[in-house]
Amino acid sequence: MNRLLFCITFLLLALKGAAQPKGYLPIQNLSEFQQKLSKATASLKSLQSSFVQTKHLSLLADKIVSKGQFYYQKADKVRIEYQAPFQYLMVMNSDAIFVRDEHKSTRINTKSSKMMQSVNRIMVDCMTGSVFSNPDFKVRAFSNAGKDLLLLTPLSKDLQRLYASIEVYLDKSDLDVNALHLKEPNGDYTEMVFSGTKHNLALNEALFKTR
Amino acid sequence: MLGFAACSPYEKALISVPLNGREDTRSLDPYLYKPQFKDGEKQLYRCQFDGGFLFKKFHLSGLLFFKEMDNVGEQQRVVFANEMGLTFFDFGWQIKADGSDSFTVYSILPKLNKPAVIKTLRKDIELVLLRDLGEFSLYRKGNIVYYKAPLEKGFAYFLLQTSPAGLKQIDIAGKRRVASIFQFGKSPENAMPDSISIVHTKAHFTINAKRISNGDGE
Repeated sequence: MNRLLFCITFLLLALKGAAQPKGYLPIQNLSEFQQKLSKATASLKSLQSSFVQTKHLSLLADKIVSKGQFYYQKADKVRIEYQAPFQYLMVMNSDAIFVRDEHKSTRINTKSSKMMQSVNRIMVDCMTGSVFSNPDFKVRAFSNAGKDLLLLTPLSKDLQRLYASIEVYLDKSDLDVNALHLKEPNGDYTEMVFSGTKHNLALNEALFKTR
Repeated sequence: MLGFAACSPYEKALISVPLNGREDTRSLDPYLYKPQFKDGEKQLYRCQFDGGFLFKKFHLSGLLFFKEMDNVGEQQRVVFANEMGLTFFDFGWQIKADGSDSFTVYSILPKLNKPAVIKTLRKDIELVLLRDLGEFSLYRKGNIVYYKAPLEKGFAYFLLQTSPAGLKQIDIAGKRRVASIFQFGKSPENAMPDSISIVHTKAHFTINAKRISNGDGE
């Protein structure tokens, strides 16, 4: 019996440990943090950033690296443009998503796809700080000396099949998104690291065309 | 000794050739075109899946990653992920102790997780990699030599040109051809090709892959 109790206690402690990202502590005053995040993003009208995306294959210890440009325009326009080693464009504008690869252009109305709506909303939420009100995820906030971390756990079964969790790393000084970690159920994860971020530039509307 | 074989409409125009007297086909062998990987070697392809039946169409694009595992002996992994990193499928092959191939699905997107889809993708990749093929029988038509290998359902035909020597295409056929695999830029002949095109005429989809790097993505 004692052994059983010990096992259960150990398991619970292990699960509790796993739920907290290494090197981070939970943010105690969550409402204060949310206010800080809302304030920081309220003045953000547009954003342009370079990114390096690295796909980590868990069972292979291998990486696939790609690079590109990220654009955000208030309130719900996002452009992700992969430039190397391949060309790929994704534009999210309100309810529409436009995708273009080397062979084909596709326009998707997110109203007809709950999944695409969710994906669209994650990107916009990360920029606008509205991530805590996203109904598709349970959101927890952590912090260390240099960064804040938002840990998003999908609530719907459809999203759970795609992602185990999404980690959003924010710079503590200005609450800019530094990095995104998209973790898959199979242990693979994709890391997007942003650099050279410029705020409130006058971005050309044509960047967000979905036709 | 030559004889006519008319087992199926596909083979109707082909002439059977005995394996022990290949004449000018002696120097031809599909295994000359089997991609040889070094331990740890990687190949990265830009890849598109396009298909449709009646009014339903689909288009998937992403990165197709081939990797030879270190020091394991012909253990290969093939991963297809979309541009944003989401894994569509992750398959693995390894030679078992008895010499046969074992196949593992490490992961696959729920929407693709259907036996027919896995079987088709597995077969296509195995033919490109020339893995685990049975005994060949030989046919010819003009200057093309057909090496026929049995599949679980139907046959694979490796079409080898005698002059200039080269792997023209791989056909998958039962009574009729159901798919063709074309490979371009295999240099040397036992290297992975620069591009691959797989046309499934019966299942109405195509796979096109073009090499972009040796796997580091840069």
